[in-house]
Amino acid sequence: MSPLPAMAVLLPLFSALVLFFWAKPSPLRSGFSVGFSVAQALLCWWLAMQTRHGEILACMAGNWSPPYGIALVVDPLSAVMMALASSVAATAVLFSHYEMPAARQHPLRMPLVHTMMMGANLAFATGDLFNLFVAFEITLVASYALMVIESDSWEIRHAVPYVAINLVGSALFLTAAGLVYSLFGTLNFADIIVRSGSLVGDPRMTFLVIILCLAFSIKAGVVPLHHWLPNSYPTLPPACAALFGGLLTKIGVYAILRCLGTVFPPAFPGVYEALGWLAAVTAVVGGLGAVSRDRIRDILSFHIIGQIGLMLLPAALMTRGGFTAAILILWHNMVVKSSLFLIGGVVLAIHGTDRLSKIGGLLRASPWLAGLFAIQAFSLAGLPPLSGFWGKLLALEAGITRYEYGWVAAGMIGGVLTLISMVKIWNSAFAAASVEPAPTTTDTRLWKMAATISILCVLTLGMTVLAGPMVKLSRVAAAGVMDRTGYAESVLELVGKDRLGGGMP
Amino acid sequence: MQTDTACIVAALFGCGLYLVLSRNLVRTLFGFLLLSNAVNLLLLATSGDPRGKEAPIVGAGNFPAVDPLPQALILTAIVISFAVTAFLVVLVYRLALDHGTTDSEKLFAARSDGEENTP
Amino acid sequence: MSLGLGLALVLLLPAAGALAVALVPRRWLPFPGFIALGVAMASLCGVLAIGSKAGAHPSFVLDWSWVPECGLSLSFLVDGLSLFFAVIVLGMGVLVLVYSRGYMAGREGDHRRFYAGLLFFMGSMLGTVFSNNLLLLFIFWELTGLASFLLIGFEHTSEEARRGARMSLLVTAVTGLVMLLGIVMLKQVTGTYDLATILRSPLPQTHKDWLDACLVLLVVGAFGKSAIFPFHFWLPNAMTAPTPVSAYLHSATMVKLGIFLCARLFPIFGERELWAPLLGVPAFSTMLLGAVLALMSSDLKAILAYSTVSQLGYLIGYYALGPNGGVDYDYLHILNHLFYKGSLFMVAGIVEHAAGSRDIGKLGGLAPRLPLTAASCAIACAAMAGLPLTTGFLSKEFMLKEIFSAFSVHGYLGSFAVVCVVLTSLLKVAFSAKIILRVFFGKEPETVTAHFHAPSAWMTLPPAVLSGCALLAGIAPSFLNPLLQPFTVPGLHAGTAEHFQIWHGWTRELWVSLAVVLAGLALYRVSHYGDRPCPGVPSYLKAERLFEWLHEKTIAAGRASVRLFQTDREQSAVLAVTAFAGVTLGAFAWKQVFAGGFGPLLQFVDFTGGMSPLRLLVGVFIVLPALGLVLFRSWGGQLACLGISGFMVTVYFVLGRAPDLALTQLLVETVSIVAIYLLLGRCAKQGLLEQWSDLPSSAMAQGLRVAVSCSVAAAVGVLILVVTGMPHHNPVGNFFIRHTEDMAHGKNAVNTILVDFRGLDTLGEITVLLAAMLGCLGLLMRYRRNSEEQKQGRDLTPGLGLGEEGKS
Repeated sequence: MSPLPAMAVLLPLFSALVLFFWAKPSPLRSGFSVGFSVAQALLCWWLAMQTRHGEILACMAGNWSPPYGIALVVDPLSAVMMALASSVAATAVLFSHYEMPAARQHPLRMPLVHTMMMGANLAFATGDLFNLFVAFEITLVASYALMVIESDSWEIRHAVPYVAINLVGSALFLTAAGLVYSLFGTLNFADIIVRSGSLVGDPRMTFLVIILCLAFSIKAGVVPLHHWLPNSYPTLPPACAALFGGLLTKIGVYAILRCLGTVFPPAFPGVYEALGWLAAVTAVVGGLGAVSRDRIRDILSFHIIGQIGLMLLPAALMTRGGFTAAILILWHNMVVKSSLFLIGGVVLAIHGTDRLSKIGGLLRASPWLAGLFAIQAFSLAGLPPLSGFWGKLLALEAGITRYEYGWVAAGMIGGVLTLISMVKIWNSAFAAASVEPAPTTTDTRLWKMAATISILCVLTLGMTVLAGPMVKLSRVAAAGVMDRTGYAESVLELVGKDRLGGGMP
Repeated sequence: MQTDTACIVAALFGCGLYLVLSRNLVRTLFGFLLLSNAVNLLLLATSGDPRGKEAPIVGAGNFPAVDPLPQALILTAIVISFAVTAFLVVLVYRLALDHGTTDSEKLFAARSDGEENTP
Repeated sequence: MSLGLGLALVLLLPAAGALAVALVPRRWLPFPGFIALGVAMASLCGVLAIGSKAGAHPSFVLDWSWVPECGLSLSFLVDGLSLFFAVIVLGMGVLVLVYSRGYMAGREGDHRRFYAGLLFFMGSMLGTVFSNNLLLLFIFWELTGLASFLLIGFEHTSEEARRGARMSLLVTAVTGLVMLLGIVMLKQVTGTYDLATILRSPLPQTHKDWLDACLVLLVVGAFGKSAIFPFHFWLPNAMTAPTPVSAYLHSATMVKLGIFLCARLFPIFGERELWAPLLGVPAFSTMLLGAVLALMSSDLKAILAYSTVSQLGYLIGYYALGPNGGVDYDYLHILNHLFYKGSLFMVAGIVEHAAGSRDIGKLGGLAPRLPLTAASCAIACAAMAGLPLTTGFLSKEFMLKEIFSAFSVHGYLGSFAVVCVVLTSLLKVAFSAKIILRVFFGKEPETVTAHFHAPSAWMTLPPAVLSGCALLAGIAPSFLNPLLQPFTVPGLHAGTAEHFQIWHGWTRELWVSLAVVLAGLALYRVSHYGDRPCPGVPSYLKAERLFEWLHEKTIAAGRASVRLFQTDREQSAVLAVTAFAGVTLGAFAWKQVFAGGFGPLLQFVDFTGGMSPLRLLVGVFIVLPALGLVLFRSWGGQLACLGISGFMVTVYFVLGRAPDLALTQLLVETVSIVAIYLLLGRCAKQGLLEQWSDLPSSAMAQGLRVAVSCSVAAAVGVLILVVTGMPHHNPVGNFFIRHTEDMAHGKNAVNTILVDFRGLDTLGEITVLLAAMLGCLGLLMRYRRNSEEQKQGRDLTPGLGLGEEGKS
């Protein structure tokens, strides 16, 4: 029993409330917001350190033992996801402090960001299916709100498909949760594992797995279900886009990994095959979309889709190697994708637009930004030895050992398309000759924004230099996710130590 | 319990989805309201046949009572869907005020797949 | 000092130098050129020291752990091959850095970027040749490609340079990715990435079918890097790079990596049947193609680039035909090419610098003005043409000799090779003559006179040194043997090399050589008679057009895919999502039914249990208003239907023994209806709601809508019947009824679950309410952009622009 997971959930809720009541934006308020997100990040990294050898930390909400109460279960995958998510969030919060003067900041952005982080942490930590639904709803409703509060009447239209599709996804999820309760008589992950022994090969369970996968794929943006993403993300302010890009779809992928790996026993194999081919299509279609776009934000938004495909491809192999690769790509992507969105934000601030045909000359005007972009972009494209390479390598290995040549080819095409679009941004925005009027680059805020991004850059470089520990950690995480009995045992055994029930004086 | 619930939920789902697929955002909103009712009823079906059982309130009657957990889940779901509904209503209201229409075909008449949106 | 430390220093120095030059401001670190030169010289000394300490035929491995989970370690193999390449990389590096002093004079602002790029390249190149781990080799291999991208695009404001950089990066990265796949597959076959282990042990017999696949994939990588057909086109386009870069990366070192890889793979795969045709056919075709294109080109650097392509083709072909047991003269060929091509590239840079053009049609008569350069160029051209007293002669003699012997061993491939080699030698004579005669002799055009600047000694000396080497080694070849001999590697080299001599007697090769030279001169005379301009490369031979076409088509395909897969209207998006969900579930159900009929699914359904007339009646009153909602068009009617349906759900909850739900539903339904009535009713009165425009624009869309709704409804119904028909016998819910009173001290189990047992859900639910409230608040107080701002351009997020006044 460890109180840390609960603290990781409650801390952002507390700061969200404070920031809600402290409505007037001021530097002090921004400082409070930054401070709490940093504290939360530190807490989550502490959690990650605690679980790095595969330990599972569990915390029973209200001290009610599972399966009756809600268990918060943090294994290495959840812990590192929380740590990276909160680091990204802290950077985005700091960035949005520099993005515009305090007086002009929207008073609701910070409370909503913190609320979203609470939902994200809950989603990563929870060990209960219905609670996962609630966590999804928290992040989603906060994201709906963030999507509309700062967009103008033309941008706000794109919130409609975003909300509509995600509502369908929520309905599917809720349906699945109800059906799971009917079939298993429980909602707790560990308890589902225990009770699922007799249901291996049962078509009803496969139906549930399919519905859950569909619901999570909607959140993740897998291709026929991705329509909400590419139009809506570019309407967000850069700091929020970075947070969304680094976080939201990744919760969907996390849920797929958790669901397929931990919670449900192997279902009908066609499910995984279908998921793999969908991921292949996603990787290619997302990459193609990115290549064809003309605004940095649009390119990055399509990239999210393509990268989701690249994550799910190895995951669909359902081998430990595949999960390791998927997890590594997932982690790397959270950092890289959000920093690219932030870099896009700086470009936007410099030029007033990020349309590639209208900008240029940034290599000379702002070489630091070019350096940051080069590191992150080539990392995203998987150029060795940057952080993206390791996931790509493991994914290739995992695919080849299972003889899935088609998936390997799709992944490689997706990677090449990523490279093409990154070179496109580099050539147009950074290398090309400067456009008239020459961009403003003397504002000190730009330096502060670039310095903020370099925090994430350090993280990327850290994942490069410390690739060994990183790969090891992802292996531990994959082993943890796929160790169903271990998960069930440690959650339920932790219970055994406490008395049944509790929470009363 | 479940045969009749299945019929009702299926019908509500059909109507709700039909409305959601409308090009009029107000009817989409109504569709989501029906859908959330449908899902709530579906959850209720998992608490088992209520005949011969009591409400899960100890002391109000005698055992056996129906399974209380689905009811608790539905309560949470109702409140969440209420929150989302409220948000949707205000969103549609805002769109109607800003654009003078709730017809999504008119709303998205300017194609905007990342290309220039012209107001 | 131990060898390990020495090697680490040699490898780290260029990287550290690159970082220092790139990051430390100029104020604190002036003269980046000298720093780079010092670094290169120090590294060269280090490599020479390692070489001398290691003795003849060294082979040892230095190993540091990095990513053991991936089988990757910082493992370096010091053997003849790696030392030979390292000496080339650093020696040429020193000369190029000296040359750059002159070439980059007057562009002090760009020095840091330039020298950092060169040092970065040097470091990655050293890493590649010393790598003992195939993955490590791949990492450094890709880094050289990245360095090449940055250096080709050095003149980044030029569109052409950017295009050339993009082309080289994409070609080498794509082929590199293919190579990575080959490396990964080889690991699956051999169980290790460790090169020394693979070289030592015979190939295992498992995964036999994969071996040839590995070979093909690895060779694709080598071809991409070394610009072998069909990837040959990127190299001429890389000539937009500054000339020192072209001389260094694109003739002397980086493009030789493909050859290096073939040399590394030779002991592993050389015995396989596929080896000779796989390498030989493209390589010799490239050789001939490159020579033909070189003769056609008029740009000095393009001629050199195509001739480099040609020579790279030969070098790879040489390994392809390597007689059983190994090759002998590869180092000689590589050195020869290094001498003359490096010199010629530098000469081209001098000429461009001095005369303002590289087009040989616009040059001429430079010999009197640039005597040293003309002499260097003459010697280099002689070496390229294979005239006696140069290394070129030596190289050609052995080339012809081995090719003639391959004739008998390799059958058709051998004869193809002979034809290609002879024709290429002839063409080389012709374009060597073209370079020297057109640039340095004849009449000096006026443009040249007008532009002429004398080059500095920094520029003219390095090519002279290279040409001097070619001449010296050509005159006294015997001293090359003891120099090259210690570098031989068992497995690759047969060890039967003849002693190099200036005169081998009147052999068959000499006669062929003589005929080739004469025919080549005749060809030059015929093809470039008088002042006839060079024809230039015809467009159908420009493979880069195919590449650009492919690039364009990829982007077009992207647009098409966006049109096909992307919609911004919510109803088509939701349609796609629900249709997909329905299809997926339907497909699985069909698969089940197909496999075992309806029985396996229907066994879970309990049709008889639980039909209650009262509930059915209430259900009718839930569904009927819902149908009415679908059918009615009036605002009031719809609202009424919505309300009735919702309140009937309340009644249904009562029948389901759920009083709490009924109360909540009543409350929520009322508030929702009131909110809708108040907010949207206002809009309805103003006619903003478009109540009648409910149908999609096409009949097909409407059909699809009905079909999807009905099938999803049916699917949900079936799903409920199948999945909830036999609920779990012991749901956890029973616990709450049993213990609500003693544990949670509440009689109402639903309430105790909400506030106690599952209190976290309720906390989350309240958070959702809070977030939704914030959203509504934000929507109602939302910033509205005025028309002026809309005109200014919509890309700007409100308030983001710099230096603007606040405006909310």
